[in-house]
Amino acid sequence: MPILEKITQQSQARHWTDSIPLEYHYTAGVAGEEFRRELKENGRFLSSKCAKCKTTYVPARMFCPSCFIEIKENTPLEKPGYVYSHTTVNRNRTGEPVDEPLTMALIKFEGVKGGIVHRLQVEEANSVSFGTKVIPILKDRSERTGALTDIIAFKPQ
Amino acid sequence: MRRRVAIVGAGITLFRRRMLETPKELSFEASKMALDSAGLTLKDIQSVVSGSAPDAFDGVHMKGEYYLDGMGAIGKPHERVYVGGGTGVFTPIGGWWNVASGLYDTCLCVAEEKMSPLHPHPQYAFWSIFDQILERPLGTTLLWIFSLEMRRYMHKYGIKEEEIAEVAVKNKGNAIDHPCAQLGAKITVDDVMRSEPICEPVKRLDVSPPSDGAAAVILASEKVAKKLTDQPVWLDGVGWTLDSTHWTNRDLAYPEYVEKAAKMAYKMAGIKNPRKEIDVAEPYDPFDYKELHHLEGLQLAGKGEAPKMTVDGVTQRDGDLPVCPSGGLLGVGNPIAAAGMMKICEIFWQLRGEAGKRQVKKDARTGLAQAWGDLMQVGTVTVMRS
Amino acid sequence: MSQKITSYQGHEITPDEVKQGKYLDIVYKFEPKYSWAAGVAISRFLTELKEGKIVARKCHKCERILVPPRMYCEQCFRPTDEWVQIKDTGTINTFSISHVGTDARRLKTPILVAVVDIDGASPGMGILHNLGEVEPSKITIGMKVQAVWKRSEERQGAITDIRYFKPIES
Repeated sequence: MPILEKITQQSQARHWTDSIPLEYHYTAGVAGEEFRRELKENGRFLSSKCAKCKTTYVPARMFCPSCFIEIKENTPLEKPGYVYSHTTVNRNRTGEPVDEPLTMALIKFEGVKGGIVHRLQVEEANSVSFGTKVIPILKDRSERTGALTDIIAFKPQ
Repeated sequence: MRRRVAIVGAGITLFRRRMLETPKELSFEASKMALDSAGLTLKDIQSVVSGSAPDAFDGVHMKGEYYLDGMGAIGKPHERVYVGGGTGVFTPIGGWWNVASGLYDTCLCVAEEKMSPLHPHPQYAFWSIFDQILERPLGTTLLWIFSLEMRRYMHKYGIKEEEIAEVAVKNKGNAIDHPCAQLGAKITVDDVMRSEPICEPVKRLDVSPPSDGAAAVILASEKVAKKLTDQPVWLDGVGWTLDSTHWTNRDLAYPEYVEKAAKMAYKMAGIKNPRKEIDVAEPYDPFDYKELHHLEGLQLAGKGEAPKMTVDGVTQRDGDLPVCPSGGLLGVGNPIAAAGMMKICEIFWQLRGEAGKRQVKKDARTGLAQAWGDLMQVGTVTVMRS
Repeated sequence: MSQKITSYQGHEITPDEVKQGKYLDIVYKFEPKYSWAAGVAISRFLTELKEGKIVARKCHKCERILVPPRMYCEQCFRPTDEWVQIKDTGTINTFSISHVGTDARRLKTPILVAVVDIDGASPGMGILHNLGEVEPSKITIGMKVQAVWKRSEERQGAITDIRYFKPIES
């Protein structure tokens, strides 16, 4: 049986407005700290290889989700990554137009599971092709903290 | 057809105010330990149930999907359960119906919580627990509900703050023997009474700390359990309910939600006289007075009589009804969901005689773990037998 | 704990290590804004608060007079039947003196908060509100209190249209 009274006039319908300000401080985690150190000191991406199934993951992980064992072997990736997919972003998070369109890409590495999402620096907005080899443009070593923002963008090799 | 379900393994990480591990890594450590203790690998697990409190603490949306690889749940049926603080005991209940229904033979149940990311204090996320229109504009703090409840409880039965402080002394002392405990310490009633008042009558040493941590158990059907171990701990009774969504309309001096959930669990386990038949209990103790409040709701003490039981030493480890031999939330820590699971692990170890220095003196065959979801008054209870 | 278990995992970060910046600290701030619909019952409740009145809802089956009002009785699981004007006086069911604010920071002046059973509603029907014009040490459970309202031109249709409850001089 439905409720006995409904609101019939707009003026009767009330609402309450408020916001919930939130501030988060995340830790990178055990593997994340190793990844961070490698990026900060040497500007390279740390990957992890599972001793059992031999899968290599990037970014570095503490455990293999398939074999469910700890991963002990971490190696920095030597070869450049490639563009697995890309998109051009014309609006920001709140839906307003951006001053300059951004090209974002998912960058993967040969033989490695996982990837890194980051900005792609291109001459023209749609001049990216799938599979283009890319390398990171890094900030000066003194400015790096280990966060992914140490990379300004990726660019074709 | 309902089948018998047993707990065959348990795992737990350290509980600390701030841990380096991400939620995934915490889940992995607890799950791996549980698997190792049961002599199982991930392949043997057929389903996964996880419990974790609001996404707002970790600050990760759809947390259940985020951390499930750390629980080995990739490619497996997985469900996330959440009932506030009651989650830790509700997670194995969720696992229970996975196995009791006959759908699966094994289930990994993991409870994980990382409260440290939220600044300036994890308590802030609890702000959204109050009614957005009628309560939040008043400047609410989570501590209000506990202090309001504590005051009513003390008033109704004429209980003194010193009697309640005995619980904090007992639990923090018990926690010294728990290898993962955050706040195990030898304190006195005086220390508690002199600690800084936060929200009168609640003082600093009456409260459990926010923590990061994870804990896990493995459930198995009777057939599988008997193959794995000669000491399965049977999950014989489960109960869960909520008594009211308007917390200001409730009788704050008595936890009816616990009574209802406990009766459900006792009926299933065939327990007629809880005080005589339960050998060891782990009620939820985020505040010292809550242990007393819950003991009464669990029918383990008469209304207003739990403080006397504590003062008389009945609830010590060598007493007639040891309560919170682990050290409880007050001593071990309070990562919301993992705290309740810590209690499940404790009863598991107690009933198998594996609790080391924390082992209770009497021969414990039947144990009880209970948790509570605050403000919305959810009670979750499990009865276990060896 | 079980012969198979030898160590417990977890790396703690101490407050000093946080100060030293030993580990990567990724900060993210955001402030979601909400506009909550008050619904049928609370819309009316707020409208009445603007008029300086407290309104409740009655269920004819269990005869309870419910505040905060709701369009369905959660116990009988049927729609509630009528609006009932109740008083703006009540009795303190329980109270607390809070020294910390929403974000756990210490307050200079403590906030006084209570559950007040409102006269005219069924027994035990309380609402949460602040107390004022009273010495914290003199507050008792069972004390009779009276709502202190904002001036009518200041009222907006919010729970804060009542500034606080104060003791009734006997």
